[in-house]
Amino acid sequence: MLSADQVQSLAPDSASAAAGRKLGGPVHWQALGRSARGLWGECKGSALYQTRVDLLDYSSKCTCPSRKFPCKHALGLLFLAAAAAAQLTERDEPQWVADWLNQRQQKAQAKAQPAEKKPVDEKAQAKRADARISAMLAGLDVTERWLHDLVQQGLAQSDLDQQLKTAALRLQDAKAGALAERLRQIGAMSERQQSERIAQLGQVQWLIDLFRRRDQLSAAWRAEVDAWVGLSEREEEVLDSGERVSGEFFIAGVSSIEGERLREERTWLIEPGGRSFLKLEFLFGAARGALFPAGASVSGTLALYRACAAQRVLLAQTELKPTQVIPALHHINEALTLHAAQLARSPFCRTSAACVADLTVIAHQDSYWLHDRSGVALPIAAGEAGLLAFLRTGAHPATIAFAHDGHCAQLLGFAMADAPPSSWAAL
Amino acid sequence: MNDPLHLALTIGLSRGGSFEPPALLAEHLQGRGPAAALRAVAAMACLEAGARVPDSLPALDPAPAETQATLRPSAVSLLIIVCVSETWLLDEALAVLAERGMRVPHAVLAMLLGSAETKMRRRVAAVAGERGRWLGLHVKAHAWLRQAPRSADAAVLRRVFAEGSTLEREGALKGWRALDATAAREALSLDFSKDPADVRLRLLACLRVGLAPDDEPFLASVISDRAATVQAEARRLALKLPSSAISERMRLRLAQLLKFKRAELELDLSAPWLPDWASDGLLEPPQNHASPRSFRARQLACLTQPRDWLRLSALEPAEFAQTLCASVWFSELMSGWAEAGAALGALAEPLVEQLCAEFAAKHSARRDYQRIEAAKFAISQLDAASWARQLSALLHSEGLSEHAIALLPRPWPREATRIWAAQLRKRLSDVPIPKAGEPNPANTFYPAQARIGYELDQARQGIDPSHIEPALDTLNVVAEHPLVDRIESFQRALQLRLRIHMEFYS
Repeated sequence: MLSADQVQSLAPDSASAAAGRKLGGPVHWQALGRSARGLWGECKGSALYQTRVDLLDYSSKCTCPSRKFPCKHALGLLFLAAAAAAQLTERDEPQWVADWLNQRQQKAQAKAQPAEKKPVDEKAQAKRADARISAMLAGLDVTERWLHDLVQQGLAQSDLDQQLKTAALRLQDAKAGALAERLRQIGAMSERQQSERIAQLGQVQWLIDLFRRRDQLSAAWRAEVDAWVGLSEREEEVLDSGERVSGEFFIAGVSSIEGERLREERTWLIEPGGRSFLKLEFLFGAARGALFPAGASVSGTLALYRACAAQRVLLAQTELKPTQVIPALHHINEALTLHAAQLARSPFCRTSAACVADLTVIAHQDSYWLHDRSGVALPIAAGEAGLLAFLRTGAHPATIAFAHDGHCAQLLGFAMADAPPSSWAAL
Repeated sequence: MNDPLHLALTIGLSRGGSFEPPALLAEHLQGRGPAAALRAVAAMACLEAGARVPDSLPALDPAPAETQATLRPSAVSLLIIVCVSETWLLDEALAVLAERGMRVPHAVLAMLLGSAETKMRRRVAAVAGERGRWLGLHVKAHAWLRQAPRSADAAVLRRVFAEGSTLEREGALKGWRALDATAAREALSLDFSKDPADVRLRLLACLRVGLAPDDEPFLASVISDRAATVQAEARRLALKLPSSAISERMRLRLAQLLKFKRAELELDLSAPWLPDWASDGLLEPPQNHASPRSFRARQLACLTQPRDWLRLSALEPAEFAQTLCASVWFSELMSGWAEAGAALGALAEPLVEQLCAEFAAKHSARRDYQRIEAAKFAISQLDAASWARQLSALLHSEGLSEHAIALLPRPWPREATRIWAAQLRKRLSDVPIPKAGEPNPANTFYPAQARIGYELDQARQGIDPSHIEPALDTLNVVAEHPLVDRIESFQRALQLRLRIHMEFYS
């Protein structure tokens, strides 16, 4: 069963988490129960809502009209299970729970069966692909001209943000969505990130160069460049023919990046050797992707998107399970070395994740740092996570997971050095 | 931004920003135009990221262990709810914690620091615990947390008492008295006379915590303070010590003034009071006072203990209670004893019994009011067994339900809450239910709201969880009423207030 911290990490936002906590007492519930497959209960709100949770992946269903997922009732049920598991006695599943769980099981089995492939008109498909690439190349030409004008006139222009937005819209129209999103993110950077902003514009030039030469690139490089410009592999292709990695992967944490149109939800998985994988989902509004409780593990097979430094994955055949041992490195330098190796394979790989044991969070010149036993320190990105980690760990040793770009760490989660993996808390 | 390449791109290549390709990349770059500059800057950034040598910093001393208790998980959840979505209750929640000497969990402290306004700093500091003080030592932005008083550390209390504001000194002195009464009194006596009168009065009152016979010499010295208010407080404290010199003097004076004839209480208050009595607080009434005898009787009661009156009367407590209630001095004596916080002792139970009998006999409103005040004072001193014997009479006195409720001492037993709930239910059942769209009748839930508010305030002031149950029962009755669905905010607010108290006190 999940801890309260893990349930918190499943909430779509802090207001939902608070609302879920309010419903985390038995007084709000009736007909509570649990089985090996799920939890359920009827929540007394302005109406009586039937709430059920699948223990396989913590998906939930509720009869409430909320568009958030999981809704506050499902979170409340999980908070209740975390705080007072005895309130949920082992019982036979009522019909409304059994039907839903059976339905989910059937869907999962159907998904596992290879789907019948429809006949493909390869000629038409190739024609469509050519047309799209032509449109993208035309869009890239216009973008490059604008970029060069920008460099000629200097980046210190008051309307740079607006120019970046306009350029992003042009790329979006040219079906180069990923590159358009990159321009939006560059536009969202603060003035203090000017160096990073310039470096990112340089990478845009690289991607334009490489996409023009895509026919001359190796398959891996072509896939990498295509993905960064906006020609991603389809999920079915990845699951059918992507490289596979099997084993147990620690769910280090989930971070969310708000874009103008989409929210990027990044779930970081770490294998025992320290290699990190990224499960990426692009979501609209308050929608949530698959639920991954930080601190748990997935066991099974991951399918990798094709790339030079393959990092992005889909879960092919996996199941959630409690973590026995957190796969942690011993020094910050090990994490930086792994990231450098990743960069050597692909310069577009901007972040890696790592989990390092016996770290302390320290304060130095009014900012927060990760600090290892050898004295090496990595600054923590500005935000509330640094203060939270500093207060919660009190500069005592902890195993801490973080995503980083070699310069700065974004904290994902932690467990104190002498605490079991089940105490993992998201940051 | 000092990097020449970055500088060139920021200024603009056509505006004089010269671009020299870095030596490392020179052979790989073609031309010196914008494309080459952009390629170069991306390559350099990539090299820097891959070859970065991280900083080295000294380690930090870890935070010391916490000395204060924190909340259990369900109360932590509640506090998080308050921090996130019910911030109007934050002040109250933190006050409850501070009164209990508890600290907030570290994760909640981070939330509070992220969102707390400057005016909340005092509240937050009081519940920040050791971790908060440690944070204040290491992060300049939170340096204000350094001053948070430790509840269980005499050294810090001593420092706060020496350097803090009056409010902080008061809090520290109370805490210190509880830890080490003698050291705290000695510290107070050192520079006592240098403080202004209002500060002296507030600090002196703190000696109520841990008051003991060895405080008497200091109190005796303060009885001659230059401020009358401070003198009065010192006398009140000294009179609480049965063996003190002032208690003995007052017993002798009472013996001179008090007479009992045929079980009737007589006080000889007409003769002028001796001049040396003034030093013990027995002052002549002001000129033109409407009732000089009443003034003197009340003064006498303030400075004497009921046990001395009982002993001088040579009556049994029940007889004395009867005599007292029949006396013309009843109100003066009861209000004087109540003001001085005197202990009624064996007199309390017969007094309540006598007053209950008189309530049932329906006296005039004025006397009811006086007797209710007297009965409240007496009931507050009953032990649980005596109180239970009185309860039924109080509750079932016909026509006196409001008085009876007002007199109920704490904790209420189940019977009391059941009767109160039944009375409230009956009252609410008489409320007409308006049709949909019509306004709710005004003040429908006022009695219930007032009761809950009173109980919760009492719970906080006395840090007494026994007030929670009556509030909860009241809320349950209100929740049954069909109108409550139309006043959701009322219900939600009350429930949250109630939960705060239940969770934090239990």
